[in-house]
Amino acid sequence: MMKKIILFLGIACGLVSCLEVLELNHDNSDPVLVVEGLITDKPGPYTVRLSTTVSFNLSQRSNPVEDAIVTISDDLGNQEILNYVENGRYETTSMQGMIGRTYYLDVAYGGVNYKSQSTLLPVSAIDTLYSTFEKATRFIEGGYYLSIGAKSANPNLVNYFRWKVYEADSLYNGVNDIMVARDDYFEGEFVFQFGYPFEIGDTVKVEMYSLNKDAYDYYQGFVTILQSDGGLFSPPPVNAPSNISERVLGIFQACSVVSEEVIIAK
Amino acid sequence: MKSKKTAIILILIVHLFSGSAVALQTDEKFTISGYVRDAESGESLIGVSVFDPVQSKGTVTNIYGFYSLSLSSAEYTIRFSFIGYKSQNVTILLNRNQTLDIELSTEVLQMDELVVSADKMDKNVTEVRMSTEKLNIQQVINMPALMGEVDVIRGVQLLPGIQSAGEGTTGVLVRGGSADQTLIQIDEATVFNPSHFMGFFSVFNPDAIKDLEIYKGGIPSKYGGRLSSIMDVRMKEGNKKKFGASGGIGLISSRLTVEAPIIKNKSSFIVSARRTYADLFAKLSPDTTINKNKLFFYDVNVKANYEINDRNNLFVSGYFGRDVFDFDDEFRLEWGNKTGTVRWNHLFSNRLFLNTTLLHSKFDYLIGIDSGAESFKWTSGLEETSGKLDFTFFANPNNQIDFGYSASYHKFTPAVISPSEGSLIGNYRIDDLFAIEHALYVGNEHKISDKWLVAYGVRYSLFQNFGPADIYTYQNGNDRVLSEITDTTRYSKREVIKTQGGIEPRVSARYQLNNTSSLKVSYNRTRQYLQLASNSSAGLPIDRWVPSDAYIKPQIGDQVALGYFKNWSDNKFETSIEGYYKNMKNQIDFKDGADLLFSKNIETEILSGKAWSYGIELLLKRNIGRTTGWIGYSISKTRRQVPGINGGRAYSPRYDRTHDISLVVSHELNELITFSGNWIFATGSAVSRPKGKYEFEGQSVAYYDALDRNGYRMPNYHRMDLSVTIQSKKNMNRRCKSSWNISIYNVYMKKNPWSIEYRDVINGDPNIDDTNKVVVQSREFKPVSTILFKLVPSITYNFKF
Repeated sequence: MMKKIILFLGIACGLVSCLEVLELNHDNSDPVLVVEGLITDKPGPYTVRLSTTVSFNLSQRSNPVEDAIVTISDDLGNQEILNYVENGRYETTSMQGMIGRTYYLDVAYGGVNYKSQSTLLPVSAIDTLYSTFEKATRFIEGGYYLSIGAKSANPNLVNYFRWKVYEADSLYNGVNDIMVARDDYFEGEFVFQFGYPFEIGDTVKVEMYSLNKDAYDYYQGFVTILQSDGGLFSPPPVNAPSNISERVLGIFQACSVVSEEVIIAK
Repeated sequence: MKSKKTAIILILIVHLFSGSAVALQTDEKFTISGYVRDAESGESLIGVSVFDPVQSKGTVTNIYGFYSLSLSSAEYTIRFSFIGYKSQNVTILLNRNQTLDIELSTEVLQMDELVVSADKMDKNVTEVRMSTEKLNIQQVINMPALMGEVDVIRGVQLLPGIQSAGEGTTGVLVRGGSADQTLIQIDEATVFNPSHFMGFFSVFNPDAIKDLEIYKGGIPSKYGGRLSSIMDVRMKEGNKKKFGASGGIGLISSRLTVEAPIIKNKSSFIVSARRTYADLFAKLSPDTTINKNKLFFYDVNVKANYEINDRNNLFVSGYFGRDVFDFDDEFRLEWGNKTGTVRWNHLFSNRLFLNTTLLHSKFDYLIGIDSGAESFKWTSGLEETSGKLDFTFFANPNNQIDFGYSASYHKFTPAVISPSEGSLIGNYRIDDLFAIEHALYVGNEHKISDKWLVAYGVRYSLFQNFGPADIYTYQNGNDRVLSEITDTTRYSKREVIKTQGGIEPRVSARYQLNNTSSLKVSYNRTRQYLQLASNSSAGLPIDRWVPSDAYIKPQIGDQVALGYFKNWSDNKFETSIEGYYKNMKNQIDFKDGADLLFSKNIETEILSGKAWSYGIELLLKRNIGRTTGWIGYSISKTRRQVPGINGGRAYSPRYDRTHDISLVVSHELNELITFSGNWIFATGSAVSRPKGKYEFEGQSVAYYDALDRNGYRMPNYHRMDLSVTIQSKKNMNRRCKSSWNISIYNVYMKKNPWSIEYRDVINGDPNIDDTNKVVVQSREFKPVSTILFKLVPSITYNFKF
């Protein structure tokens, strides 16, 4: 936001700022394991994707891991070894996530066992999902802005959650589309407006996920690094804090999910 | 060890008092004292040399233009000299204590004549102070200005050993210190955030500024409160002789200054105001989404003074400034400083000078969303109210003693969030914090012999936090985690929570090698009790100030500096080389992902470590003649080491620049035309660079080595600016003088990266940010730099009458 204001100021003062792609030399570290694991209270199969970091200047975006052994278990002693599918993805076959249970991940890769755990917390129902028209300003595009309202799942605690937005079944997945929030600045219920407009007739689906605090911190860190300007107005760049181990990137999380769909109308 | 050092200083001071008393009994001395002022405006002049050439004894006027010189009974010719002014010799028969006020006239530079003035222009060599820079405001006014806005802070940042956090920032970073380790004060009142427009401009309107001095080291005992540096800005007092007005019209702002006597030669005032008008153009737009935006800053400086009599002078001054962004009545951001100073100079005798000051300063900001379910108003700020007594005792020509006391009351309001009607956002408030800071100091400038001049002193500072407040106890007092609070202690109103303080010795010495050169050495310890909780390099108005408390220890800095000073060609050229080493304890840094704005337990977000810095600074300066300016070079290294950051290994802060070169030249072609130019080179900022990339949820992300913070450099920065100031030909015969200044910033269009981010570049074009509007042919993860100023021309019209 600050950077946006500053660039806007520059433009208002008659300056022309510009962007340029740089060619820099990058040192590369040894590959680091990246984990994307999610289990929900919806029917499976659930996926754990494993990959490693790649050299900066390679055109390849990631390097899938195909030879790991991935196990998910829960606090009742249920356990399942995931099947490898493709592109680093491992899937469960019979497991069903349940609210209140804690799930354990074990990844055996390169002679090391990486472990993590996550508790599947409840999420409250979506109370309202509606759009309002906003005129275009310098900061926002004009159009129909979607607002979501819900009550806190547990008013005595700080609840953390995440939204995913789909339009015509396709996920919004840009740099600015990772939206996480906490409800302690609200009083028992909250309303959140998404930062981009829709058009009349769009079919929009919103999913709301419950998050553990470590997942919330991870996504906060992830958004910070995705949007980092390299440290002038943002903090010095650091990797998002994994809940697996310090030498690993990514996260394993158990979430409950609710969703609601709306067709944008006047 | 520590107490021993203090004891030695105290013994020296005691010895000095008894010594001077003895001297007074045996040798009858009289004192000549008074004020030195500008003949045209009546402004007091700071740093005028008052000198007896025969005995080679003298002094300089203090920051209020006052001098006092005690000499044996005899006839003397005292010379008053000051750069840019005609020297004046006054012959007096000193057989009683006398008051002698002097007015000096400005020197008019003749066309074909270089003014050579050898009179005591060697102050930089002879004075005991080192690591101190005085900025010539007129030179800054002639400098090329960014968008036509003359900025004294931009001038200060060109001095060796002083840096900015980056282009377009107003932080003043001195000798490896961070921005919050420089105390910036205007008429002695603290300016907590010196920026306008997020840092493009500073709060100092050049029309209202008379004098600016910055201490990089060898800080005298009368100054304190910050670790690295003191930037002391003085406002003009106003013309005591006649009405005058000056101003300017620039591309983004206009300025107007009015000054006049209230009672001729006794009392005067000055009002100086400035406002930007980028938004006024926007108002003309028929587009309602644009013309409703507000975007401006203004500032007003006011000052009035009254010379009650020979012994009493009263000054009242104030600064008010505010930035306002208001977008479509929806999103609002405002911030500003307010300061007020009431000062009373009193002479108990012509050898004892007292300056009593009452100060108030306030910084606050507001962020608001005006309507809707998420509407709120968020305010935050801090206030400082101080009283100071500063005595100067002119014991004899060889000893000048400063002593005093100050007390400051601090109130911090970290955040108050209040929802508007219909908003679902709850009330949120971080409790106000209260503290008092005391300081007691004494220092003597002691001329031991013609060769040795020594200044020694000590400052004792004390900081107390007091209630009402809740103080939490953590399971592990060193690694505080929010979930591990074991106990809460409630402190009632005015109950002292924590008291911290200590001694700050200050010593400097000059050894005169010959008439034109000297060696200087200094040591100072400083303590700092307030710090900025900022996780980014460029200071922002929303950064939060936090006081030292039960968990955050006061910062302690020790600096030694050694310098060689030499002047050439009758003081036309000044050169100096200084080296320093600085050690800083209890430096704060922040945990990854720290919530610095809204945390009620800021101590859980903070880590503490140490820092050190060393470097060499070279300066070649020419103050007189038609071509003036300086070349400064510094080579330095700054490191920080904080457990919990970078795996506990030392790292460079972003602002660490190995090499830093500034070339500042101004050439007066003739009476009408002056050219100015700057050239700047600096090693690129220390930054982290990715050591790979990975994919998470379909996004490409840069991977950073957690043990290699700031291990790389941005590309080197360099830039040249040029300007020309043209006086109107009609000026010669008119009272009203006008001029045009044309500036070009970044003449050779160096594309200096302002920031570098790592992200997907679509089809090789970094400007494409919406993949829905183009056919994606390629998607590459690349470094993308933002270049802020490619070439910025500007023109300003200035007038004066």
